[in-house]
Amino acid sequence: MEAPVALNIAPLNAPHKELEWQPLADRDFQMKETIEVAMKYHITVINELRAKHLNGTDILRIWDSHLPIFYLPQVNVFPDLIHQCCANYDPNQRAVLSPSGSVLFYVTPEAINQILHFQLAKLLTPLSMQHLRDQGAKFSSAQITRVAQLFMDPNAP
Amino acid sequence: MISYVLGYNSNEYVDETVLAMMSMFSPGKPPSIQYDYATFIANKIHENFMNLERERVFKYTSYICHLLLFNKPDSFPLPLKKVDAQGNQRSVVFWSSIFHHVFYSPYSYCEFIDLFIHPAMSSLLSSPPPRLIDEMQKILQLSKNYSIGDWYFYQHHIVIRIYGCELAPYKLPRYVPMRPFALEYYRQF
Repeated sequence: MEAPVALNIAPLNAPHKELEWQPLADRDFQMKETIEVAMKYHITVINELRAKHLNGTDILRIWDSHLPIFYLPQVNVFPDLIHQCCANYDPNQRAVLSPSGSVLFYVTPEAINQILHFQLAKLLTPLSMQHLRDQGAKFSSAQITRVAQLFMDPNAP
Repeated sequence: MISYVLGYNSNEYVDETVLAMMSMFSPGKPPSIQYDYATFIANKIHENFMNLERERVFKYTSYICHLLLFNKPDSFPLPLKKVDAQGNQRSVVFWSSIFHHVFYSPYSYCEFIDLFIHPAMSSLLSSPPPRLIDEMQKILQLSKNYSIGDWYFYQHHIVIRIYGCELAPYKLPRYVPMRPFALEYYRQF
């Protein structure tokens, strides 16, 4: 039986496009994990802080605190990679191992200082959230006022 | 910056932290206390690995990526600048722009996957992961009678198509991790 005219239509195909004209997946807004408008280029931040340090305008001495050294560029997150590292992690050695058992990298303070090329003979103060809470609790109202004046944005909601 | 180094993705703890840390700073003078960030970060990564099954969130991916690059630089097909103009060793942060996750980064999202994630996964597994793992192929084609889509391998990209979808597919990277696959699958579905 012949199909009715109303049903005798060409199938709907996706418009033909050459591969080189197709967009890369990374143009998709869903692939972007952060709001780029609010982001600042990592190197820009480091260079600004370093320039302030060198020309003497870093009045808060942020550079001297070593904090910028441990501030790394933000990367795209892939749970597959992290879960595999976790599966290969040896807590006794504090290292992530290859399938053959050799050490791929250590997760130790020395390993972190080594990759960041950070060397300091001076003994540093141990950092913990509890330590910070304890320090914060000791503040006088004058100190709190001073810090608020230095660091709090009066226009912030 | 403080919340990021401490592993927080929001400003939730910043006020308290800033208050405590910055109180050690007297304008114009070096900080009276310099904290041991390396030990703090190493301990947090260790705890995070030990509790990942429960917490489900990992906060130090940047450190893992940089540790991998530093210790296995030959595994990654990237130009690396390990020394500065004077020949001094540089921090791994400045070796490559592959990690710089901004819109004007010289590397695209797909290049980051192909040049870093795939070699990194290969060093963690006994054999390099396939371009499209079995699980993804089963999602598209569970059997001959039940298939909802197809995949196409190009030299530098992979394209997946859901039957009946009229949207132009994206060019996925040469090796497709689950996240971009899932996003493209649901976009077409």
